[in-house]
Formats: sequence, structure tokens, C-alpha cells
Amino acid sequence: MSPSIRDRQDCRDCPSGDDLAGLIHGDIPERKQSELSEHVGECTSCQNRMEALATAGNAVLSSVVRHIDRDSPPSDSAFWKAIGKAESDATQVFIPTLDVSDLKLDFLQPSDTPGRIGRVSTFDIVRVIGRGGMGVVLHAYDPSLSRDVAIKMLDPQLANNDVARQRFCREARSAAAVSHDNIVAVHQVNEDEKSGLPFIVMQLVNGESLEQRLKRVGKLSVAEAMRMGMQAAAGLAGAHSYGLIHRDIKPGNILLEAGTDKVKLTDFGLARAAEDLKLTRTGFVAGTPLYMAPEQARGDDIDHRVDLFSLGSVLYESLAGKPPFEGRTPLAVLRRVADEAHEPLRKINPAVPGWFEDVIDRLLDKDPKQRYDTAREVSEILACGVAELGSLSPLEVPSNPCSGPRSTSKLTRKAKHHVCFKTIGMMASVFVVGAIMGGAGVAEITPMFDSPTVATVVEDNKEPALASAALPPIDLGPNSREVLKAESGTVWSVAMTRDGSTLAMGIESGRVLLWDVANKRLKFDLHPEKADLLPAHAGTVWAVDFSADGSKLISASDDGTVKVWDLMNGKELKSLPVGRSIRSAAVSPSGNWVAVGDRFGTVRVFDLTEEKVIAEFEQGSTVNAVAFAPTALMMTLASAGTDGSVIIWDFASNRKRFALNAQSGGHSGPVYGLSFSPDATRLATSGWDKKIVLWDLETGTRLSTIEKAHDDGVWAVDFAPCGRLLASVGEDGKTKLWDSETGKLMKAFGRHTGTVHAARFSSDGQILATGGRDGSVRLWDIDCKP
Amino acid sequence: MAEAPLTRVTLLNRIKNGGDVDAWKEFVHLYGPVVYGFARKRGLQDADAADLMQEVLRSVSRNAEKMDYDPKRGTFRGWLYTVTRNKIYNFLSAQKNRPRSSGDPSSQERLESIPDRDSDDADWDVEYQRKLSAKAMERVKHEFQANTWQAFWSTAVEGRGAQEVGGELKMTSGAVYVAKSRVLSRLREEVQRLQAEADPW
Repeated sequence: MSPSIRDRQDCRDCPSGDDLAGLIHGDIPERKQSELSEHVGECTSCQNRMEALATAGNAVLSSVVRHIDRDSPPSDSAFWKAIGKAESDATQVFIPTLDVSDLKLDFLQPSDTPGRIGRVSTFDIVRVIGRGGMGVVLHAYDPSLSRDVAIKMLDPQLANNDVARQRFCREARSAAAVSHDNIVAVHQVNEDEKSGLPFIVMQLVNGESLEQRLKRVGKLSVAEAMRMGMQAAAGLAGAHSYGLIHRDIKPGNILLEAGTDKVKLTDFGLARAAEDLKLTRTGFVAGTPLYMAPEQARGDDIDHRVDLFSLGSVLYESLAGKPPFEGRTPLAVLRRVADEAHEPLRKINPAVPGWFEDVIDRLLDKDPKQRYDTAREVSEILACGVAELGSLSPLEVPSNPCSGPRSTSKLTRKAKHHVCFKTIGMMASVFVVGAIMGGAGVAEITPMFDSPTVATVVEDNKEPALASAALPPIDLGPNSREVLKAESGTVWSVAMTRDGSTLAMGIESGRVLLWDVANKRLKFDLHPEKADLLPAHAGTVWAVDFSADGSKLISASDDGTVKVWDLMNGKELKSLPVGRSIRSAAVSPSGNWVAVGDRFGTVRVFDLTEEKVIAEFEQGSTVNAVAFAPTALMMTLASAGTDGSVIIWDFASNRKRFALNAQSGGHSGPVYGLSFSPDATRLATSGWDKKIVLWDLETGTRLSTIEKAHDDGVWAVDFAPCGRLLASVGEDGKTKLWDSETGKLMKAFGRHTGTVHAARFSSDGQILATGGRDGSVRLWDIDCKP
Repeated sequence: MAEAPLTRVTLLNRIKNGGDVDAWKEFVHLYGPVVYGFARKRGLQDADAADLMQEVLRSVSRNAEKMDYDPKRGTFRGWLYTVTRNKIYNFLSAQKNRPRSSGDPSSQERLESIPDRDSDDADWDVEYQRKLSAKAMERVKHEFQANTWQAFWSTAVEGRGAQEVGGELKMTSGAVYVAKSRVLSRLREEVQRLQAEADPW
């Protein structure tokens, strides 16, 4: 111990309490501070005294602060999700809906079928979906038509209320009369004999509401919002033409169908009955004030234009991440809706094009006469925008639909939009029809023919398509032999059975599709046990692979599970939870192991038969890709990270064989693609930096680099079975074939529209399958025999 | 629905009125971790503690309007504590009745040994103090120079020696102690203020 540390009893030089306090507050002269400070540094008792003074009155502060940084639950704790959920309970400004668990289901008849919770008329009730407004929504099964439906019943508590009842039935019958692609179809309206409750049988929509989507992702991209708005407006136009006003348009009533995100408006016309009821009972305005039109809030006479205002609010929120009018209480919100201007959208989200903001501002006009006259108009305007979007790369947005400078005059605006419509009419008319009818939008149009006009629209990403119909067609290269259109969202993974007869697709929506290649027919759309409507997984399917004997399919998904499927009947054999936040996966050649990489930077290897982890490594950053080496290199695995690292692991002896990164001549950004050569002597890697790098697996050194292999990031590489050819696919939508030894480009194909994510050769090397953002898989003829 | 201008709008009032999004979020962030931390201390596993926390918060939101506690009989915080303790007790007894094979032996022990009321109280208070202190730290951090804060952090939080820390930051050990006390003093003030804000609950 230092001889200069003094004990209190010996200390004649210890400063007074006042002095120490002065030190803490800094209100003593500089020189004295230094003197005191030096003393304190050596005198334990003064250290303690000073600290005691500092924390006086709070006995626990010092101990509470100790290791407080360890207080926070670890990132994978269930705590965070739970807090998030608790927080989102708060985003409902209106009177909270009753918990489903409070619901008494006495009104249901007992069911004969096991697994069903009851019966209503001829329908078997599977489960309660939700409760709100004045109804209960149930998931039911119609045995006579063998289909799943949604049943909305009048809330049993309102059963005796004649007014509510009549309104429920009247509005339901009108809703049943409306038939539109963007409105949830109503099949029948009836009354349950036994309970006397009226109910509506509707289409069951598989997907999520816009509300749920926004909770998950915060806000939509400009393109998504435009498309959503266009379809919602189309649905409104349909309903308005039947004389129906929705009155409660909000994110919760806008359903997005899984896979296509097609808009289905729901809860039509039922809001009215609820509103009337609550008005008489409590004297408060009910419903969602967040999206309500001012005239509606005031209780004035309303017309279809209230729906336009609500649509404007929804669009605003989808782009800004928060509603245009917020407040601490429902009344505060309504006051803002009626009196205050909303914050300019472009201030919050500068990515929104000016004309789009104009449209939304007009929808949000407090005076209904100033808004658009019809929802049809709005739908057409947005359709213009969507059509233009289709011709630009995802990062660009149309500067103004239908060209021409922005005009503030209302009259000119109207005229211009008519011009737009005509101009579009001159172009591929199939575009417009598809768009306005509420189709899935541009993504559906996959060029099958060598039509130059369509090719121009799709390939040229420099100028707005409408202004330059006369551009020369770009050489897309040879056409693919086949196109398998899933149109269900981005394809992330593909695999083929050894004999080439079956092809599997893993899709962003969670769907796994199995195709009969020869007949170009869909064999199976895999579903989990007992859930016919649900896709195979609840998240992006990162990897699909067949077992070596071709009898099973293995799929790994963002939903944290690896599933094994029986190929004979499409049934789920196994579902293994492998962890949260999975980003990549691969199946070993034998089909017995699955490697999984997650966003925390961990790679795990699972044994599928024993159902347990046999190896685990740290990559250090999100693992974008994993791949097993061919059997020649037993138990070897490669993994690629977002930090540019590529690591080769020997998971038998549990050690790292090589670490390849920028210093070794590797990638300067995230690595996305990995592929071992068939003879296991080389590894190809590709990434964000547009490069493809070839590595020697014996020495761990770089063999060669193909710079600027694609115009943008290279998402995947795959060695052909012959070993000589290497395929690569990228964000530029192109598929390229290289001579892996010389680095020479052999062929290029351009027919995919949008990023291509997956590339896989068939076992005999005759076909290359590629899949991507356009929701389709293309099969290319290859000339490379093993 | 106009607020009487003289009434202090406390967080609790704001929640009771229903529909105040910010108040609710603040409440969740302040008390969620306290409930979670306390549940963990009582032996609940991560997922169970998270579930329990959600349950307690849900209970509050459901009962916000008819908050069944009497201000004269204790603070809201005390009420929340009782609710939490009861739910934990229910959870642990439910566990006890489950078949052996799925039972967690450690929680079994915990149930059988009647929790010492005093240590329970102390634990709850500590969790609450932790949360307050953490919030206070966030608020006052920017008021200090980087070195001062770091000196405080390395000694008071990480528990390292002043000499070592001083060497790293090029400060004398005396200066390190002074920095530590300065920050502690400011924290004490801030915690006091936070407590006053939250007190009427």
C-alpha cells in the first residue's frame, strides 16, 4: 500500500465538509481545487466523505448505480418483445376494445367435430379472430363448400338492442351487394336460429391489416403506399357506386392479402350502427377520431367524401409513421382534425414526391367540397404514379405522374390527370387495366414475349416510360426456357430434385411452392399442420433443399423454424425451432444437417434427426449466407457476414480454418453469396461491392476477382456441376455465367424484372434456376456437362 | 372534459383519462422493467417474467378507469407492487401444481420458503430506484464533459480503481474521485426530481 494513504485519525490536513462540498459544486478557486483534489486522491476517508456528501439523502444511490449497465435484459430476452407489445397497446386512442378472453361464447352451439369450439348454423367455428365495434369475428369452416370463412356476429351484448340489430342487418345486406376485388366479399347474411343472433359470412382474408403492418415496420415505402392507396381508393370507388359509405376507414380496416399485399377493405358500413348506438349511450363521439373527417366529427351531414378524408389520413400515416392529427384524448384529436393544419408530409418524409403530397393534402382538406369528387379519380391518379414506378428502379420515384410541371390550380390539375389517363392508354393498356382493377400491380406483368415496348418500360430505368415510348429495345439476351410464375412475393430460394422433376421455391411471404417442372404445374403449396390457409412459414423462406434421396424437402425461415416436409403428400413432418432472427440457412449434401445464420452473428449447425445443435460459432456480424462444402471436404461450412467477413469452419473439430476478409483481398462490404466448387478446391463469394472473388480452399488465399461483375450488389453465386461455369445473379436483375478459371463472361440474361436473389444449377448441369423479386423462377438452358 | 387548470396533471391522471398515448408509453417504460426485474429476482425465468410483466401492465390499462386503490391507503406504486406480488404468487403456485417433470425445482423451493416480506419490499424498491437512476443518468449525461462522465462510469458503474481509470483518462486519481462525486451529486438531484414527478401515484 502506498505510504501516503492516511487514516482519519492521523489526518490533520483533511479538508472540512464545506471544502469537500465546494469541490463537488466547483465553486472554489482553481488552485484550491487542485490542492484539495490531490489530497482526496490519496486519502480514503476523504474519498468516502465526499461521496457521502454527494449522495446525501439517497442511501442506495451508490449501490444502485453499481453495474447498472448490466441491468438491461440481454437482446434476446423476451422482455423486449413484451415491452413492445405493452407499448403498442397504447396506440389505440379510442376506447379500448374488450379482451377476447372476456368474451363468453355461450351463443355457440356445441360442435360434433373435434377441435372446433362450437357451431353457428351450419358453420364450424375454429377460433375467435377478434372483437370490436359491435361484432365478434370468428374463423369458421363451411363444410358444405369445404372452405374457410370469416363470420361476423352481432355482439351478444347488443342482441336485445333492436336499433343495433336492424342497422347491423341493413348495412350487412348492402355490403353483400357490393362486389369488388378490393373489398372483402360477403357471402351471406343470416340469423342463427338458436341464438337469434344475426351474422355475416365473409371471405376470410389471409394476411394482416395495415395497422399490424405499420406496427411492424413503422411506415411504408412510397411505392407501397401508392399501390395501397390506389387499391383502397378503387375499393372505395366500388362501394360508393353502390351508395355505401364506409365511415370508418382506418389502418385496422384495410387488410393486405398475404403474398400480394392486395388491399381488401373490410368492416363496411357496420360502423354506422355502432356509432349511433354509442352516441345515444354515452354522448361521446365513438369510433376512431384519428382518421375521422371534420364534418363527421362535428356530426354534420356527411357524404362519401368522408371516406376520402380518412383515406388521406391513412396515406399520411403510412408515409409519415404517425397519423396527421394526434392528441392526448379523443376530443383533443378531434379538435385538431377540425381546426388545425397537419404537419407537411414532406417535412417528415422527404422521399414522398411533391405531387403525391399534393394528393394527400387535397384529401385532407377540411372542406369536403375542396377534396376530390370521387374515389375513382384518386384511384386513377395513383395508378398513373404506380405505372411510372414500375418502369423505374425501386430507389427512384416518379417526379410527377404523367409528366408536365406541377400546377396549383385545381382546374389544371384535373385536366392534367385526364391527359395522363389517355397517355397511359397509348401504352401497354394491360398495365392500366391490371392496376385499376386492383390487381397486385406492376409485379404481375412479367414479360413473356419479346415485345420491345414492354421491354422498354421494364428495362429502361433512366427516364419515365411515358415520355419515351420510342427507345430502342435493350438486348435482354436469350430467353429462358421456362418461367414459373408464383406471383406471391419475392423468391429467395430455389432447389431442384436430383432428377430435375420437382422444383421448390422459398418465398418472402413464407410460402413454399413445389412445382412439377415438366408440366409447369404447381404440385404443392405447403401448409403447416391443420392450417390450410396459412403459408408454410410465418416469414421469409431463406433456404429450401431436398434430402439426398429426394423424398423430403427441408425449409428454413425467418420465423425461426426449420421444417421438414414429405414430398409425397406435402405434409409437414417436423418443425424445429432454431432461434430467432434467422437470416440465412443451408442444408448439407446428405440432408441431415442444417446450418443457420442469424442477425446476432451466430452460426449454428443442427442435426435434423437428433434435433439438436451440434456446433456453434461467432461470425461477428449478421450472417447473410451459409453453405456446406461438398462431401469431399467433410463437415466443412462457410459463412458470410455483413462486415465483409467470410469464414470457413471445420465443425467436426470445432475450429476456424480460414477467415477471409478485406485484408486478404476480399469484400469491402456485406457478403451475400457463397458457393463451393464441386471438387471442393475453391470457394466463390459475392457481395455488395459488386465483386465476385474466388478463393483457394487449401491455402485460404485469393485466386482471382471479377470486379464489377454486376451493376449493383451480387446476391448469389453458384458453381455448375461441371466445375468450370459459375453463375451469378444480382440486384441489377441480371443472371450471368462466367468461366470460373479465366473470369470471362460467357453469357448474360436479363429477363427478370427486379433483383434476382437465388441461383441454383440442376444436378446434371443442364438447367440453371433463378428467382427473385418479380415473384417468378426462370429456368435457363446451360451447356456444361460435369 | 377540460382539465381544471389548478390540478397537477400527473401521469396517473393522464392514464386514467384514457387515450393518452404518451403517458401510457412513459408508464410502460418506467414500470415495465421494474416489474420484470422484480419477477426475475423472485425466480421467474426470462419468458415467464416477460409474460408476467405484460399481464401486470395489461391489468393496469384495463383497470385504468376504475383504478381500485385508495390514495389515502398508499401510493399507486404500492398498489402496483401488490398486484405484481400476487400475480407472481399465483404463477409460482400454478407451477407447483404442475406434474413433476415440467416443474422447475428452484421455483418450487422459492414457493415453499415463504418470501420474507421485508426482503420483498426492499427488492421492489431497489428495482424502482434502479429504473429511476437509469432514467436520471440518461437525462444528466450530456451535462458533463466526456472525461468526467467516463471517470464516473468506470469507477461507480464498472467498479474499477481510480488510479487505473485516471491513468487511462490522463486525470489524477483525485480528479477521478471528484468527477465521480460530481456526477453522483447531480444524479441524486435528478432522482429526487423524478421521484417528485412520479410521487402522487
